[in-house]
Amino acid sequence: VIDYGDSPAEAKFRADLTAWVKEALPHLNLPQNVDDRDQAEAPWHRMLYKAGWVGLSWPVEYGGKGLPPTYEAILNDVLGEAGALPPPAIGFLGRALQMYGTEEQRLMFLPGLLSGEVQWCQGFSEPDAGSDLASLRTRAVRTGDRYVVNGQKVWTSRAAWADWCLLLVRTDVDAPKHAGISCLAVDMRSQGIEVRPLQQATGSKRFAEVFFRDVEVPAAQRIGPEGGGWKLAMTTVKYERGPADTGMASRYLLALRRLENLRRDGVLPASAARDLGHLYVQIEVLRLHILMDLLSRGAHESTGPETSVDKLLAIRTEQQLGQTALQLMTANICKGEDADWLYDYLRSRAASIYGGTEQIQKNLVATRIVGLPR
Amino acid sequence: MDLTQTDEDRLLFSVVRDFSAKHMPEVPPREETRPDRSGWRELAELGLLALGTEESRGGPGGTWLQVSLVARALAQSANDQPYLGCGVLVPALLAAADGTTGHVSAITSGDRRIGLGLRADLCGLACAEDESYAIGFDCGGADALLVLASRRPLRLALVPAGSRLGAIDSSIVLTRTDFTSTDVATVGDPIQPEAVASWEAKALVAVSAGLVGTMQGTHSLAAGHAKIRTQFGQPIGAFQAVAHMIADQYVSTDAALSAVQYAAWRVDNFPNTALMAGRTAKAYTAQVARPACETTIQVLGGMGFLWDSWAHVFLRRAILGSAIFGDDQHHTGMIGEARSAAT
Repeated sequence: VIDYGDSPAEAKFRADLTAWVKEALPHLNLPQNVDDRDQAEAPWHRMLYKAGWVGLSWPVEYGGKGLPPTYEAILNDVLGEAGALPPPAIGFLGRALQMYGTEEQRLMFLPGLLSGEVQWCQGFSEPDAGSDLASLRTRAVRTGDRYVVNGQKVWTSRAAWADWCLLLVRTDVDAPKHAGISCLAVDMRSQGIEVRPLQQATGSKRFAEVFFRDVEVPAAQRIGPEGGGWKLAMTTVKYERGPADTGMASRYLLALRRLENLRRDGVLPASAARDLGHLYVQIEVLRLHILMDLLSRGAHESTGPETSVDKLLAIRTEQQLGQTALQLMTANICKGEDADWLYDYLRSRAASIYGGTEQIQKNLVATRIVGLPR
Repeated sequence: MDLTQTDEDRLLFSVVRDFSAKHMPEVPPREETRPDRSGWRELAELGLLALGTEESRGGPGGTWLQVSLVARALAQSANDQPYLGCGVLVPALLAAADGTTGHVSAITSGDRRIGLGLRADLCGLACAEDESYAIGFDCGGADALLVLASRRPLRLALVPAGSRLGAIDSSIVLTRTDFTSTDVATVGDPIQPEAVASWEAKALVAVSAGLVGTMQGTHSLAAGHAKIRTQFGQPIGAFQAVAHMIADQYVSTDAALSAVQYAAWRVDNFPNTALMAGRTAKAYTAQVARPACETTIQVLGGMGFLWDSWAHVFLRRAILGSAIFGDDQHHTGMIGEARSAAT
């Protein structure tokens, strides 16, 4: 039955969570500089975990609460509304370990991942393997009970302070390119790993490139079978930082409120009402589509390619938001005022690049959903 | 929260979709048509006329979510029955007033059709006191139009259906009735302004649902063509330049569907506060429907520019549907003002 309202249990959950956030948020010391906010992610993750808000939809046997995805949606809603950081994006890693890990690996990695005591990064992209990820060249050679890894990863966020890395490597150079890839869990303190920060167009240094020189990784830390890395990445990537689990709609709504307040205070002209109304419509439709994607299809159908629709809507919305803010404040931005809006605008240009470019997402929609020929 | 459709609603949708597909000619009619009476009978027999109007008011009951399913299923095949106007919006508005049950019952049974009388800008109901004429919307086979007789007190009235206009879509009948030269017969007791506001939300949802159906219809046309039309030795859908246009069209269509579904739920459960959701759905569908239909013409190329292709019918419907009860500009302005008034 189509019902957008909270059940009594959901309403209680929402109320409890809202009360907790109100109490907890002032203690978080959210850095003003958006650049530094990544650093606040780990403590926030641990705070959420201690209060019982992490792993809501994870199976109980892996430390989760076994709740339906509705609760994750409410978590995103409430955190976004409050202007808090989004919940930790551990769905992808958790799913990979749950589906492909051995019992030993699950016991070793899942508790720390869930609690935030152990921070992870993701070593996928390479300088010559971006959209064509399967052409990656970072090499892992098996010698006895270990692999020796050589190569380079790039655009690795959180690499600077992560404890572990989920790394895609080539273990077989003779196999077809998709079949020669394996997945390793690598301790970032291993000998031979070097992390170099990358400065982005915004000025931010959130990303890094990671170099591997003769890094030894125990074979027991391979996740899934040898040559099964591509399948692992593809079947679990849909749980990665999807718009559904990063509270995107709520965060855009918060940015819109800032613009609406500027208009109310006379900083923006009254005539901006239509532009702001237009933004509201885009954000609200994004929120509703994410919900529909999460709840109506999730139960019985694969949610795979539908995530691309959410992502494409999020790209449109974020870039529209960035452009509208830029247009409304362009003179001030040129004079170096309102730097946070310039930052938001510039960052919105990356929305159509990271996590699978806009063009890759459109390919996925065209072939996997619409059924157009390749 | 639970967004899974009931089996009953799924069945309803497929029954109407089949009805609609069955009545779709191979090519669009070359001249102005009138919806045939047997199709209207069938809709009556399926219990779809006055759907969403309570039984106590002479309707068959049903939810606005169901109305939106039916409107969408009909629009997918560019059905020519005046379902939105005569079928659901008129009885729902009549039902807002006491003393109209007889009229509603006649609509439910399929015996009578009454069209909706709109202002000249098509953004709202015409009022006989304020305007000199009404534009009859979706009134094929109707003998009368429902308009506002006066705003204080708020009363409804019936006027003759008037003369047909050579409107944008040859199968959706628009008419014009001059108030000065005709009888304005009040109908029912005075109604509360809130009742009209919640009817407006219903109207926005129903028209938006029709626009989503139009988008789904035009999308099937484009996707179907791109799969079989071969150029340069391969189906044109294999070219990214074509595939990406169709992907964009799909994204807009699916997003519009989620907005309409939510607004319909809102109408069913919180009718007094459904207007914002209705405006959001209408603003979004009006923003994306026309570009989606333009995409199909581009994908179909020269074939899509022929009268014999349904592409231009979907486009015409998108333009008309976007204008009825206000386009995206109209509603985003209202939304922007309403949100700043609330903060």
